[in-house]
This record gives sequence, structure tokens and C-alpha cells, in this order.
Amino acid sequence: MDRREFLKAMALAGAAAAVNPSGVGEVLAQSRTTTGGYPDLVAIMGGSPVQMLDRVLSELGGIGRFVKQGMKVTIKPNIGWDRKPEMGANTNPELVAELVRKCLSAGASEVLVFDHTCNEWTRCYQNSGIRAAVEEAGGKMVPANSEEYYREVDLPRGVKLHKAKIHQAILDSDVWFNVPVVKHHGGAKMTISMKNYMGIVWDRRVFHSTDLQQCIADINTFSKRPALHIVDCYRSVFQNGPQGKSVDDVIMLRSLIASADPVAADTAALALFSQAKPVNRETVTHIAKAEALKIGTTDLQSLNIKRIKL
Amino acid sequence: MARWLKYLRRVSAVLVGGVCLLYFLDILRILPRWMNLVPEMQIVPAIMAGSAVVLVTMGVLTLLLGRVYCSVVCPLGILQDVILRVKKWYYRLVKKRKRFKARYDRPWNWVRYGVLGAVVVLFAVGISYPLLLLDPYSNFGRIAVALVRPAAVAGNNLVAGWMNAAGNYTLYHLQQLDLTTVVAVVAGVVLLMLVVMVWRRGRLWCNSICPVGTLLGLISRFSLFKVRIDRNKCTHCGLCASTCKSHCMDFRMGTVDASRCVDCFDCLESCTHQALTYIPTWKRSTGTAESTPKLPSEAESSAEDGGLSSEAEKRVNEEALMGHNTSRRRFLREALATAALLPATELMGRQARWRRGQRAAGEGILPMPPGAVDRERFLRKCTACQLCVDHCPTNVLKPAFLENGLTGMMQPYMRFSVEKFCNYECKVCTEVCPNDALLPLTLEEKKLTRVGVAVFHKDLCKVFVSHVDCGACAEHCPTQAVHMVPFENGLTIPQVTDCYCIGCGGCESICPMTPPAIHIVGVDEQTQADQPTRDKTEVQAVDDFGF
Repeated sequence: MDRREFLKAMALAGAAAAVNPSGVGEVLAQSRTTTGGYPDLVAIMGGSPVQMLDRVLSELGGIGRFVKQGMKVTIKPNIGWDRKPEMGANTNPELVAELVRKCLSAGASEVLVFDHTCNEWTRCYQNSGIRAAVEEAGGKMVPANSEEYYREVDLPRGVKLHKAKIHQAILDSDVWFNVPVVKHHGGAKMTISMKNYMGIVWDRRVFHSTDLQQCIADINTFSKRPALHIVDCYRSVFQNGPQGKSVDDVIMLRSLIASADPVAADTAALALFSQAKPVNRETVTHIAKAEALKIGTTDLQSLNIKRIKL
Repeated sequence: MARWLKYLRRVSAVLVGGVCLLYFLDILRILPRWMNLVPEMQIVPAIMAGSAVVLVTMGVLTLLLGRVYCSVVCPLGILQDVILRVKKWYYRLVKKRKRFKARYDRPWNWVRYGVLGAVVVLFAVGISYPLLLLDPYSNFGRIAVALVRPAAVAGNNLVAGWMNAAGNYTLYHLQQLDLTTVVAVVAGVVLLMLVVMVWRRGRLWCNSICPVGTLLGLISRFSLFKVRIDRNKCTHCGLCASTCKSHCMDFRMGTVDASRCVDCFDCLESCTHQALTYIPTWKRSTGTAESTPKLPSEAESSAEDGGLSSEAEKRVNEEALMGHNTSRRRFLREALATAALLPATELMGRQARWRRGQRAAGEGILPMPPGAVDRERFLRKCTACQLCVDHCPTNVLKPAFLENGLTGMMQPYMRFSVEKFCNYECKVCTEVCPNDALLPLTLEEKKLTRVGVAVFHKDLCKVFVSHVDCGACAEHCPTQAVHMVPFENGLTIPQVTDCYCIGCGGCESICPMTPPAIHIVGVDEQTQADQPTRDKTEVQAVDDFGF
């Protein structure tokens, strides 16, 4: 618990004490630097996206552990492609909408959702079903189509990528969630949590022109980490990714994985995916490169993992 | 009735002109598609699209009522009325004058029939470029897109900046269109000409330069309803002529040139002697002059009937002697003008053949928008109104400078750059084209329409050069015509399967290399690509976590 967090906790505790004296201990216990007995990673299978998110969050201590009264929340799903939900190319819209509702119920002052799309952005927001779902849930879709919305950030730990322009919705948020979908990817081999970071930056071409896999690891050194990486493993493009040509490229995994550690989340999601379509983790080199940068661990044995089947 | 007609004209013009302008300024792409009706009911687009319904409707309308088209359908005509309104305000507020001078101008027959003749003859031999330059609707489109749209985008961005800062994202930042300067220059020159012409001579453009105006003028000579001067009542005071934007009311002689009258009805209520009527021909009262100038014998008789002053009579004779609009002379004149243009035709044909030769050598073939079918057809049918460029969600359409040849200037082609490529699921350009230069395609057809083919240069590829993963091109390929195949050390490298490639340019637009290692070569004839295969792969059902 650093000084700022301590002060915040004290302020909250003070407020809580004024309203409800028994709540003081609860507030002080919710420090984000420790998992406080909660699992490091939760994997769930067999329900609807909404059911699974609900259960995962309650296993992790409830949304209130991450979102406090009055906080500005930003959610970054994968909305990269002008594809319908059944094509599995974008994050499940119901999952995103449910997360919006959860954040608002925890007292978030606003919930913003955006992605720097690959196809034309208004069509992606529309046809992914995410715009409608998010707006119905009470969240706001934020444009990411113009450089005006990005600010430059230094990446001192980056090996080849030393700075990047990151979307202001992330920079200005109190807390953010990374909500990718697990997919095969022609370039990066797989796209899960860490590859999803390419949608928070303005210039993606520089990733490709430098060294794609290293730059994915480098952008994940960005100091403002999301509260959770919530990996949508409901539908998955297992071939011809990341867009897929038809629904024949989609497999139903009906799962969800959540962790604050993107390397662990990606390792787990890849293991899940590999059962249907074997992928050698060694070839998805950004995972090992990220581990080398101490972003997280691929050693799932060392983690406290909760597995749930509905 | 006079007042009622004028207001009806004004309301219709504001509606049609307003819809047309708004449609061209639909930068947020939120307006409904029925607004496309305004471009579609324009005469030149209807000729291009072969829309008999529009042509017959407009022909019958003109035959019945005269050139109302020029006042309430044509956006360029409506624009000129707006310029005229500004002039009126200027006179009222600055010069403190309520009225313009009464003025009658002789028709510029050599010019108007020469231009029409040239346009028709060249079009008949397959050269539509003069029509592209002169079509009033397309000129309006170019003015709206090149001169007004940038201001709309700038205004949007200003307001969007404020709104976004306040946490409202209804508006958002937009990129300005990447227009070729030539469109702005042409639009600027035409607008300047319009302002000067309107200020000095009213609807001079419509009555001397515009081929549509001249064509309709040929019909409106015979129209059922016409504005007429009752010579029994006329005092030749010129009040009516002072309101006439076409300068076509010869108040000294008591005639109205129906071939130039655009039915604005401004004159009708100006007459203090109720000498002006807008009635069917059969209701001709004694003393009402035919709108076309008379042959000497006729003019003499009508002069007797109407009791014209000797001065006016002299003028009538004079005009008649000059052979005003007698059909034989007109025919000769047009024939002469046409003959003079034949060498030009030959030159342009030669130029087109040269272009074809150059393309045969594989030089710079640009992809046309989907639905263009083949280049010759497209270059003939497109009048470069910029509506598709304006509505393209990804801004991949760009008006050409010399890329399409001299006679393809301002017509759209696809130019791929960062985030600018043809969206697989989109066919907006084919929906909006009023000329059917881009045929309306179903989404299924569009997804198979090949506008070009990707060519991959392995030696330029990032994977080959630096031995790192990339695959940006394959990632963006919607049909997986570009896909990754094993390379060295677990790396994969792109490969193109031509038969599935439609030339959308996603690969070229995202390729990080300069010059791009993969680029699209356009085709002159758009064909169908093969339907992407559906890859039925047996996969293991997953019922455990695997970790």
C-alpha cells in the first residue's frame, strides 16, 4: 500500500466510519496491492457470459473491490472488426454490457467503452452489437478514430517501444478493465489480453514495422495496469483469425478467465484454446517476452487458481 | 395566384436544395437514404443511369409548365437564386435601392447551341468529359464537397472538442477529405463564374452554358403554360423585366423568351396593370404575344392587333430580320458548331487510345470503386459529382488528378493509406451513385467484386527482412486471400491466393513497410472473385480447462 493509496483508504475509512462504523475494517482490507485471500486467477466454464462474469466477480470479492463510489471507469473490449457477434471476432457484447452494469451498480460516476478499431470504427461499434448493449446498460461509447484522443506516454521498461500515444479514456480513468476475446491470429499467432493493448494506442503500424511480438510485450509495461483482464472465451475464432471468414471458423468454448496478471491470463486462455486447436506457446513469443519483462508469470502452478464449472 | 406560385416555387426550392446540400454535408452519415432521390432526379444522372421515369417526368413537366426544373429541381439553379438573394439584400441594405434596372438581354444563341451541340455530339461518340464539366448537378456536388464540406468538418471538430471535453461523445473528430486540388480549383472557378454571371446577368449560366438548361429551353418553347404579356394592357414600363432573373422579358416588344424563362414567377405580381399571365396556350387572349419572337409577317399582324408603338414595331422587325431563332438558321448554326468540334473529338479519342496502350503495358492501373464494371463504362458514366467520395465511410475513395488520364480527372479511384481501405461489409458508394456509374450491388455481390488484385513482394516483407512476426496484411484480409504460411524458425510469411482476392486494399493499407511489400494492382474490368471457402475443420469439443 503506497502513500497515496493509504491516504485514499483513510479518507474512505473516515467517510465509512461516519456513515457505518462497522464498514471501516472492510474498506481498509480492500487494498489492491494484495489479493487478500482472493484467487489470482478465476476460470469458469459452462454458463452464459453474463452468468460467468457474475460468478467470477463474486469469487474475486465483488465489483466493489475494484470500483468505488464516484470512480471513472473505462472498459477496453476488442471491437476491431466490422463483424457480427456470432463471428466471434469481437468481445461478446453481453459480457461488456454486464460489466458496465456492474461498475455502475458499484457507484461508478461514468463507464466509458472504446477500441481503436481496424475496420471503420462506427461500423465496428454498431455491428459488433457493443454500442447498443453498452448504451442500454448505461455506459458511453467513446470514439477512438482520431489522434486528438490520444496522449503520449513513456514506456521506460520497453525494450524496443519506448513511448506510445495512449487513449485519454484510459489515461483519465480511475480504474480500467481489459476485456479481450481469445482468438487465433495470423500475425501474432494468438490474440488474448496483451495483444488487445494494441487497441489502446494510436499508431499500431509502428508495432509491425519494429517487432510486433516485442512491442506487444513492451506496451504491456505501461504503468497504469487494468484492475482485471477479463478474457472472453465464449466464442473463439480458432482459424483464419483474427477476423475469421465464416462461422465455421468459430468454436464455442463457453468460458471466461479473469486475472490481474495478463501473462497468466494469456497462458491459461491459450491452454484452454489449445485443447481445440493446438498452439505451441513458444510460437506466441510475446508471452515469454512479457514474462521476461516481469509483467506476469506463465507458471500457473505458482498461482492460486479457482476453477468453476457451471 | 401570382403570389401563390412564387411562394410555392420558393418553398419547393428550399426543400429540394436544402435536402441536396444537407445530403452532401452528411459528414456524420446519419441522414436517410431516401434523400438520394434528389441526386437521382437530376437530368444528367438520369441520362447516365438510363432512368426513363425521371427523363419522361422531367420532359412532361417542362412541356406542361416550362423550365420549373431549373428553379426547383436543379441544385445549381437554386444556388444561383441564393446568390441573387444575396445581391438583393446587398442592394437593399448597402445601396439603398429597392429595384434592379429593367434589362433585356438577347440570347447567346451561338454559345448555348454550340455548347449543347458539342456536348451531345461528343457524348454520342463516347466522350462524356464535357458533360462532366458542365453538368449542373455535378458542379453543385463539387462545390458542396470541395468548398463547403471542409467548413462543416472544421465546425464539427470545434464543437466536438467542446462536447468531448464535457464528457459528451455524440459528436466526434473527423478527418478532412483527402481531395485532389483539382476538384477545389474547378469548383472554385465555377462558383466564381456563377457569382459574376448572376450578379451581372442573372441566369446567364443556365441560359448560355448549361447544356441541360439549353435542352430544356428547346422543350419549353412549346410548353403549355407560359409567362405571357398581354399587349393590350402593357405600358412597356419595364417593371416586370426588373424582376426577371433571366433577363428574358423584352418589355419594349412585349414578349417573353420562353426558352430562357425558368418559371421563377417573380415577375407575375410585379405588373401594376395585370398584363402578366401564366396560363395555358389555348386560353390566349387577344393581344397576348407568343413567347417566341415572330417572323416579320406575324410580327406585323400582331403589331397591328396590339397597337405597338412605332418604335417597338421597328424593333420587332429588326429582330425578325436578324433571323432570331428561326429554326432553319438555328439548325445551320448548330451543324456548324458541331463540325468545328470534330477535330476536338478526334484528339480526345486519340488520347483515350493512348491511355489504353499505356495501361496495356501495366502502368499505374488504379482500382475503381466496386460496381464500376469496366473502365470505359465507368469513365463514360461518372460525372464526378463526388457523392461517393463524400459518403465513403473509410475515405478510401479519392478524386483522380491525372491518374485516370486527362479525361478521368476528378472521377474517383481507390487510394489505400493508413486506415483507408474498402470496408468488406460496406457498399455505400454503389448505393448513392445517381448515375449508376457504380451499379447498385447486393452485399453478397460486392463482397465478390474484384476491383484489383494484391501483389506480394517477398523481398520487401518485414518477416523476410527482419525475421520477426508481422502478418498485418493477413490480419486485415477479410477473405484470407492473403494468409500466413510457414517460413523459418516458427515464423510465418504472407502468401496471396489470387482467386479469392477482391482488391479491398486492407493489406496494402496496413503494411508497415515503405514502399509496401504488398500492394493492389487495379483491374480495367471488374470480375467476380471466387467465393471464400468455408474451412470445415474437425475440432475437439472442449469440456475442461486444459490447465
